[in-house]
Amino acid sequence: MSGGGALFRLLGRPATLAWVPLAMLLSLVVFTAVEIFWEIAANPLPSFWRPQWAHMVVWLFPALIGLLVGQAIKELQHCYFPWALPALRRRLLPGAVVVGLMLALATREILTALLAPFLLAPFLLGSSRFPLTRIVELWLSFPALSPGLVAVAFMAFWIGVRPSLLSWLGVMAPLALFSSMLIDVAAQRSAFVVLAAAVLAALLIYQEFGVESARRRPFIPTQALSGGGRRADQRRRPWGFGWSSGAEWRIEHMGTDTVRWVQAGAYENHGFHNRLVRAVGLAIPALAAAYIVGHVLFLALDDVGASSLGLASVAPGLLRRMGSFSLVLFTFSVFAAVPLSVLLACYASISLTRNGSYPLSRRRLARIEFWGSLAENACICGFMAALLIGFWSVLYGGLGFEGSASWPAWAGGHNGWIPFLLRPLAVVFLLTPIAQWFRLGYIRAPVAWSAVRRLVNVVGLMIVLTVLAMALGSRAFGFVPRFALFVDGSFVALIVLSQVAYRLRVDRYFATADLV
Amino acid sequence: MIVVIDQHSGVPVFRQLRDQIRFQIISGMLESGEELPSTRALSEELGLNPMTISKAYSRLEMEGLVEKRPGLCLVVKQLDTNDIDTRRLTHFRQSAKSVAAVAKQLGLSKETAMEVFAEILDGANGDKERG
Amino acid sequence: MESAFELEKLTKKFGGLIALDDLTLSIPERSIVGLIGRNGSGKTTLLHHVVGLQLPSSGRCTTLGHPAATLGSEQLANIGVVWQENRFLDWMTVDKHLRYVASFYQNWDRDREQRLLGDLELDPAARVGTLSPGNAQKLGIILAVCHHPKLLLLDEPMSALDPISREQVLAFLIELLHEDQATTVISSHVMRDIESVVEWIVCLDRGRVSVDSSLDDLQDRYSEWQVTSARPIAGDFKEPWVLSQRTNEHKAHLLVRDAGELIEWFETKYDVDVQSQSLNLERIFPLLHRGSR
Repeated sequence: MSGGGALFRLLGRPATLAWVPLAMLLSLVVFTAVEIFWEIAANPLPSFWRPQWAHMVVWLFPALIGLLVGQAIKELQHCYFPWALPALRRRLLPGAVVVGLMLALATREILTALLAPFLLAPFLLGSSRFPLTRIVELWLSFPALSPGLVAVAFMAFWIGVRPSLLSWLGVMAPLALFSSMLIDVAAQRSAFVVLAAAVLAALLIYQEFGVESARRRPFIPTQALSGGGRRADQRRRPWGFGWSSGAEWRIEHMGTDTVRWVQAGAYENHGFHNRLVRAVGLAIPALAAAYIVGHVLFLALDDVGASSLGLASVAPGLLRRMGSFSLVLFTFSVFAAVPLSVLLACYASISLTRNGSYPLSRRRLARIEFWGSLAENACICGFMAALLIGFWSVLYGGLGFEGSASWPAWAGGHNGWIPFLLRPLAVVFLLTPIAQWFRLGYIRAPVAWSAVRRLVNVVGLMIVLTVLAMALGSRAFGFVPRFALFVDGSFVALIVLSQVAYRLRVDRYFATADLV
Repeated sequence: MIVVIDQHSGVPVFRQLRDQIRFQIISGMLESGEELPSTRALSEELGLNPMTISKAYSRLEMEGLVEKRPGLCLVVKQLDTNDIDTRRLTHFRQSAKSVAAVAKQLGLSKETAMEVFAEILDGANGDKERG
Repeated sequence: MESAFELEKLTKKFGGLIALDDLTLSIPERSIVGLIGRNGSGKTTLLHHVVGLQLPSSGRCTTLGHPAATLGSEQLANIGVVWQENRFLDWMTVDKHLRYVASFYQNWDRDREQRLLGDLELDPAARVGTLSPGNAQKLGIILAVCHHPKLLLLDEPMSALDPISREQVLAFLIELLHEDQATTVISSHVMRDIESVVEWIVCLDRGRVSVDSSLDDLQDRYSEWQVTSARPIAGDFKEPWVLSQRTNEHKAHLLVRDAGELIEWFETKYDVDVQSQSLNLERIFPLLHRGSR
């Protein structure tokens, strides 16, 4: 069967062998970490939270595998030679459908095995004021219906194959608009749902891998693996050049001033945006992300009946009951923020790109790389801070506070902004240099797929660190001030240590490595 | 001074230049006392490496055909008649060698070859007279 | 005369592959040198070492009097390089890119830049990412020369240029030598280009220097003999300096090395007639690599 074989031959390479267990690991770790978290917290709230987190496995694992399949196909498409091959997507499609279905079934088995007691009863959030809630409802109700689960996993696979805004909208919009109708249909005609999902997915994919759509879209995906600003040509967006002619370079003479060269790095990587476009382009997703996350947490509090009371009054009780609310923040900051910062460290890189064609000695390059990374790190943390502040504001009912008494309480030291804001940021600041370390020397290597193997090492390392951090946090994270001081002190020490280590690494790299 | 250099013939450029300038001097196209172009000017005009031109000029100087004046370009030396005649004959002998080789290869006798050669010379002179 | 750069027993290994093998070379200042060799002979690697982008496994490289590994920013500002693989910022226009790179150097010559843009007919408003390979090479050349470098390294700089642009670039290299007293090293496969302007040839063969002499000497050493014989020629000529030959009954065509003095001896010995002609660099090149097969 040459049709199916076509895809599997693309996937038969060492990187797949690295990616598949990685995807599985990542999804299960999310699940396991939350299990540990709840063990430690020993909390009655799990009836709401557990399935939500566990459903990340439903979405995350198939989506990651879908991502792999999508990348393999995209990579093929973006070489010159396949353009002349006849009926390429007809050959690849059967293989992709097979993988997707098998994956969906496997996910269902895994989830059923892990979560049997929780899946049997569908539940819906009661207070559905917002359209987003309806989506979340639907999302949560599907897995309760086994075929629905398969359909969801299948869709997640396809969305991974084509990770674009259009895919998501294409899937989410009908769900949002026709949610109740869909739930009814799903309850009665489950096989139909699976079929519909399969057909929709196949249509999306067929359109995605067409020659025309490939021509229009820049080749982004493996950029994350082949390194940030190294391949600026791959970020070329033909339609973008029309309305954005790029920023002007205003410096007359560079000299050897580090600050100027860091600016140069930023210019090289991001100068093709006008400032305004860039600010807007970053602000919108940041706000959206903050809103979504904050909203979900708001709903959590709503479920507990605590939303109208304001966090300050509820927090002590919550904190006691949940063991440590800041541990939730920890989980969030580590699982969402760190992978995000890894991606940002690649995409939002501000290192110099022209592979050493600068009148700069190696020592200067080292210094510039270090300070540039620090600046990057600070930007990422700034972004995270905005995110955190954003959803805390939502939790407070839209940037308003419950009376003036609550503000000092929120702002007050160890019950307030230190665990809720600073510690998660500290974690991000601490762990981002790992991605930058990895980027230096590994992603600079010309072969992108070998970088995947390295990525496995790094992500593995991050997972270990996360689990350690959580263990540490659960023990020393109580609200006895002197322990808290110890934790804060150790954070500061760790950050200083990581920066020193990174500096040493950068200096050594530039002193001894081939830059080209 | 007009020279034609073929950089891709395999014959070293300095040698081509030297030979052509030498020919021009001994045939009278370059008169004694005439200035040769400076190294830089010639290199830019012909697109040649200045080292090559310096080499050619220094060989010409060694052969005694040009002389250096302090601070100025090279000039063609005043040669006495004997010297010029000797050089002309040497040059002609070189050209004649290849013609002789062709005659030998074609198996022509000395007399036949000399007849043809005399004819050509007369013809050339005739053209000169008529023209 | 000082040397522009010097390599001393330089060895570079990439894993098991030996790219440069115990290389010793010295390039004098104010010269134009042609670096030739087959694919994979180590030419680009050598140039990388000269600017300090790659570090040797053993041995030393000294550029403009400084060790290449620790070249300071001031020395690097005196070096210009045109790479085979373009390292441009594709989203910029040509003009923006020039402005950007111009800010790196103190003595960027705007006039030279404008003149070259005009002579090479490069549109300043074109996007770098959309330039054809030839135009991209032109940009690479302009970026490398406008800051009056003392040392100019060119790695296959003209492979995609049309003959008119090539002429212009070669003429410009001569000008560069006069105006900036620059040392130029051209690494190229196009022997015609090299032959036009260089005075010194360095040939690399699998990481070693096989030729390090002036172009004139090289052209003197190798020649082509047309041998005519009245009697039938009995088999091949066995002399060691006969590098290749084609013989039939009465004629032979030989390629010889260092045989300038031996014509008469040869003619006498075999009772033949020899016409000797020069070989240009393109035809000499294969003779430099005869051992490699």
